[in-house]
Amino acid sequence: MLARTTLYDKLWEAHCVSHRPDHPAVMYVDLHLVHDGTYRRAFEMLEQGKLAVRRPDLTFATTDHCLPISDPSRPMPPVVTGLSAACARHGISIYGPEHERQGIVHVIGPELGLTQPGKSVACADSHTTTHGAFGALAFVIGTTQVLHALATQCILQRRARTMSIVIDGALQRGVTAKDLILAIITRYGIAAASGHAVEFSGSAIRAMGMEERMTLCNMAAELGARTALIAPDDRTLDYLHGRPFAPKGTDWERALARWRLLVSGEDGRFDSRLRFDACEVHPMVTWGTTPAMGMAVNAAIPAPESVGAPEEREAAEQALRYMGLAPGTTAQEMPVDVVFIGSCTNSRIEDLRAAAGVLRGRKVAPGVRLLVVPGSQAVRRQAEAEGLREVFTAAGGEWGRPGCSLCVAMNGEFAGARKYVASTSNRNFQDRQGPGARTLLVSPLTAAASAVDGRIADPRRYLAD
Amino acid sequence: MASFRHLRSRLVPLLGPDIDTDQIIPAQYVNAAGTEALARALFRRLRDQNARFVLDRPEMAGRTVMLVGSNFGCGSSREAAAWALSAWGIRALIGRSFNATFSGNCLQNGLLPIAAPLEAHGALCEAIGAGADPEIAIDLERDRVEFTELGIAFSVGLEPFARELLLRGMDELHYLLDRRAEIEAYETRGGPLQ
Ligand code: SF4
Repeated sequence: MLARTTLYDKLWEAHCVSHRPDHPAVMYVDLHLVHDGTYRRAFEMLEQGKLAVRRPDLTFATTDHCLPISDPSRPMPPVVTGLSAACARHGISIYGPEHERQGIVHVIGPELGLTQPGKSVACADSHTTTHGAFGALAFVIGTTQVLHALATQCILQRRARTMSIVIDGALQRGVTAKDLILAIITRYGIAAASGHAVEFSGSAIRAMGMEERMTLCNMAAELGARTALIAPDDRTLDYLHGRPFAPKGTDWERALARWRLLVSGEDGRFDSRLRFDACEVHPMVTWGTTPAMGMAVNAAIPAPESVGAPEEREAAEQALRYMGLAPGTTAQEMPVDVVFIGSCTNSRIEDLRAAAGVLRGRKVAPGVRLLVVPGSQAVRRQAEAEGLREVFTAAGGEWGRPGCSLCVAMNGEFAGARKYVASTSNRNFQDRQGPGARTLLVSPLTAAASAVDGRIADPRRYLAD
Repeated sequence: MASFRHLRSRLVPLLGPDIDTDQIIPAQYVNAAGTEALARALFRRLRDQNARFVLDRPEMAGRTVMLVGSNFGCGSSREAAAWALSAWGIRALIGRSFNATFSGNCLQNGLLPIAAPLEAHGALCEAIGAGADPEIAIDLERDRVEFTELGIAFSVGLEPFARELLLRGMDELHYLLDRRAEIEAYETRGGPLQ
């Protein structure tokens, strides 16, 4: 019986407070992460209802979505200052704009050791799936559920179906977790894991560091997944050891014993299964307006006629019109005006190291704007200590203050209309990076190489032997 | 929350797959406050680019049901997408399929996401494409959606819990607040993983 239980089942049962027949389950939230993009109405309703925050000690807030990034002289928008005030009223820890722990919500949770195996993590952001890289049960919630979590520390949830994605084989040199997940989304589509809890496993996952695992789980959201999971292993524990909120001393030993149980049974019963071979993946780039409209950097844009259903064909044609691209155009003919290295997908220290490795001693192509935005203050400090900031600025790039920045363009800073943005973020929807902006999703390596070439480049050409 | 029982309207057709929440409400309007500002923000960019966008056609004024395609509401989990639809006056969506987070957000706000069966959805889209402007009747008590002129009918298909809350005009917060003793007991146990 136990052998058939999946990791998701274990986490689900551990957090289920109560469950009446025909009702959704009452699920406990061990860690509630709040950010400046989605909190406001929740606090308004809380205060109108004269309710208290049940567990301010399990609630942490940061400012990321709406912060001015490239022009720090711009005044803080009211939603940012409003969050600090709301947290002060309710006794919630808040990492405001200049706080040493501030950063993108999905970057700081793991970095501070708040995100831990076996915890449930709720956040009103679709990329909360990131935290599943630690074997945590991530809940993507809406603003009304922020209110629920504030007032009761619980949310109502229906159990998800489960999907196993086994990825074996080794990634080739110059191919990253970002390329892997883009390749999976391109093959299976943006609704492939719709409504599912996805568990990633296989030799390729075991070989990945935590930052790559986070990239993978982050973009599971683009497969439609409700949550993503990777069973914790030694790498997970090494990453967490010594982090500010990680258990210490004998608590650490006790935690290890619990965390080691967080695996799916060998015969785990999944509702569906996919297998993917990491060896065949090349660096990827998207050419359209969903993350599934992607191709290898050594390929050409497919003809819409080659796409299956008529609805999809129309969507592909419409996407190409928006992107100003034609079928048959090779990736390396695709122009780049802006390069954005940042976002909760790819703004951690290893991402910046990878990009800097390509840019060291090189220059950004004339007319190209390179914007590098570290995911958190800690990443910023580390990158500056390693001299990465100089690498980017010497190449002609800008170094931004930590935040979401051009990933979502909610902070009043946009890429211009019809500009091509090679972006390490996770979404290439129409207008996502500003009205009319055309997003090309890539890895940090490809972004850096493309900044040098002024068009989409195969980063393998730039890798030192 | 007001209770939801019956609804009659003609449709606001907005077909096409994968309409994401960035299109429903662009990021910079997510913090728009008040019904008027939210209604103005709904599909703002598409409306700015196209003066004849469906929402702004005079005959659409006052309609409360939108006909959409598949995977509607994908992308960002922003609840403001549901707020903007409600603010404009939409009370139900008929589509092929919805993003799960989005439909959850809709229900929190008394907005009904109704997934139509493949055949019925196809027939509806075809009829609209051929110029029909049928009236829809939604009866949540009887769990029925009917297009009498087209001879199309199917069930609303909501989960019983969501349906009951809507019929009673009750929200999830009160349900959760009523579970206080269970939550306290769970916290005292420390949870099985602790
Ligand atoms: S970086 Fe982008 S995807 Fe990540 S939390 Fe911020 S807005 Fe969301």
